[in-house]
Amino acid sequence: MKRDAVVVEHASFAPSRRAEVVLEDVDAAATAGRITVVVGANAAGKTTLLRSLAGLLPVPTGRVTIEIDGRPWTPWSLPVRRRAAHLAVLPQRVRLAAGFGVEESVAMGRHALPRRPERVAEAIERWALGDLRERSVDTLSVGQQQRVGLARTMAQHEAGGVLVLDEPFAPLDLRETARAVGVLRDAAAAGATVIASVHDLGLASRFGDDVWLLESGRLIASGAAGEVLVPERLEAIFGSDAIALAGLDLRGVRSSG
Amino acid sequence: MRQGRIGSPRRRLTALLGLAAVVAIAAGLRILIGRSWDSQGWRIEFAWPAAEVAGFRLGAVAVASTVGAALGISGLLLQTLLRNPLASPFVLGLSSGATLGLAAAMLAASTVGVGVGVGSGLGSVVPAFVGALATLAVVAVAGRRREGLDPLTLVLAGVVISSLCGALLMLVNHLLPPGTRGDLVAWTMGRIDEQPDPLLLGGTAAAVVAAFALGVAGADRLDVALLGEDEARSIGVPLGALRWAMLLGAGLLAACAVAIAGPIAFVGLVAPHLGRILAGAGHRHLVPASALAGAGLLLVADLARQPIDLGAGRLPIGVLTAIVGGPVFLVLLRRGRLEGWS
Repeated sequence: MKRDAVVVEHASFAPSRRAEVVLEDVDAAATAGRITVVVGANAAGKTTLLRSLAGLLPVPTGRVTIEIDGRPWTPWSLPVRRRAAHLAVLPQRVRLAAGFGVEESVAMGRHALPRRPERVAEAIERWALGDLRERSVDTLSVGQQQRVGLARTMAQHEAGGVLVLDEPFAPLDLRETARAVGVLRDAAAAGATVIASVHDLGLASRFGDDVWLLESGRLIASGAAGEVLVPERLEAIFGSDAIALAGLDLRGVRSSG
Repeated sequence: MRQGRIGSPRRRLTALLGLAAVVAIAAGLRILIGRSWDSQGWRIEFAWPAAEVAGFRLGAVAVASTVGAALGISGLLLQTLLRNPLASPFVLGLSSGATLGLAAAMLAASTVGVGVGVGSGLGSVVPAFVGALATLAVVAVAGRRREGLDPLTLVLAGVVISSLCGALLMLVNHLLPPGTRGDLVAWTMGRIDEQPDPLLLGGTAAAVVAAFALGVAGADRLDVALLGEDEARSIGVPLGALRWAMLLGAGLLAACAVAIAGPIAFVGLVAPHLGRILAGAGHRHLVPASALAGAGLLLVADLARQPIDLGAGRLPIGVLTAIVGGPVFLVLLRRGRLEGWS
């Protein structure tokens, strides 16, 4: 099985004219076959980091590399087809094309790849969109639209490739979140490098194998979930009130991690 | 899109055939129906015309269908490019630019004392075309960003340049000798020429055919262009070059249309919406549907105005499309046909 890996070296973003979120000297690596969760407060730089991994932003300083068949590539400069085959992305706000059906929208994920309708059918079934196949996407709820976006991303994803997902669970209810976790775990088990940002710390601790913890653009901790998500650190970032409000029992994570 | 369902491929194909039939019927009627003058006044007749008359009417049919198709495809490309259902060939200010170009040429001609030929025939086509292209260039440059064309900036630049052209037009109007102002006003009402310049019409028709073929061939890419920028890039359609192609294609088509027929309102706005309702949102069917709907709308409008004479000759085509097109668009809007666009 060919597996792609992602490495971030000294990646920094200086504030540009448009005052993008700053990233400062981030060093990290995501391992194939594991789920890496990116955690941090609002505006910590999660989306900027994920977009640079996804090749949607050039990295001005430092390097982001995705290793494909043993050769390092910069995601930003990956050729179109290779990129589509090795790097499937779910942006923070999923955008679907008005007036298109669910099945057509999922099939768009295969645009630059060999058609393979069975992959589209499989994604539709896996995300329980069968009854909505012919529905126009603009008549769907936000949660359903998110599922269509996820199904499109998974229809594009080839085994062993990289998956970058920005807040994949945010608009999903519990049942759909469980479904999404299942699908992504299966993808990782099949060799995918899964990198996802997650707001819910409890979910992050149970979903992630590894965690990158960002604060104000700096990576303050990375490693196995149980070692990164420790109470003292989280309280320092989010405040003890927030941790208590979320009812997080992080000791459990620690012992199992 | 009934009950939120999309149409089947078969329904979309049927819609295309239906649109083509409307175009053919309207064209046929336009050739068969004429007016004649006798002691009772104007009379509508329905008969196969003499060869010479048939030639004129065929000319009008060729102009209406070519200009209509150009406006339909142009409007569609702009709605896709700007991801905005209110986009039409004229949001970019092309019609104001064309009018200003013509007005400026008329002013220059009257200042120099030439006057002859400017404001009619090729003398109106060339300055209008140049004016529209100049506006397109300004809007494109204003909408350019480091990352490529920015849809929102394009729209805003179009609005600003439209009103700037409007202001300059007032100035030119103010300076024009009173006798020539009428020509300019008449031009803004649009016209379907019965004796079109073959080169000009041929060029426009070639542009329409090219845009049609490229649009159908690249339909999948146009579909993906409706997604967000990040999604399109991830899926494998970098939008940079595609956006430029859409802008230039739409701009050229609109410039040709406006140069031939004047600023005809609403066809470029309504045709893509009609196409979408009938043939769905996928560009493989929508490009032909928008072209056919545009051609059909303009042919029907040209046909409908033939008997309408309020004492000053046949009703100008632009007046009719604006009077009918405005309410039609309002109905589409109220019935929620534009939902899902944000």
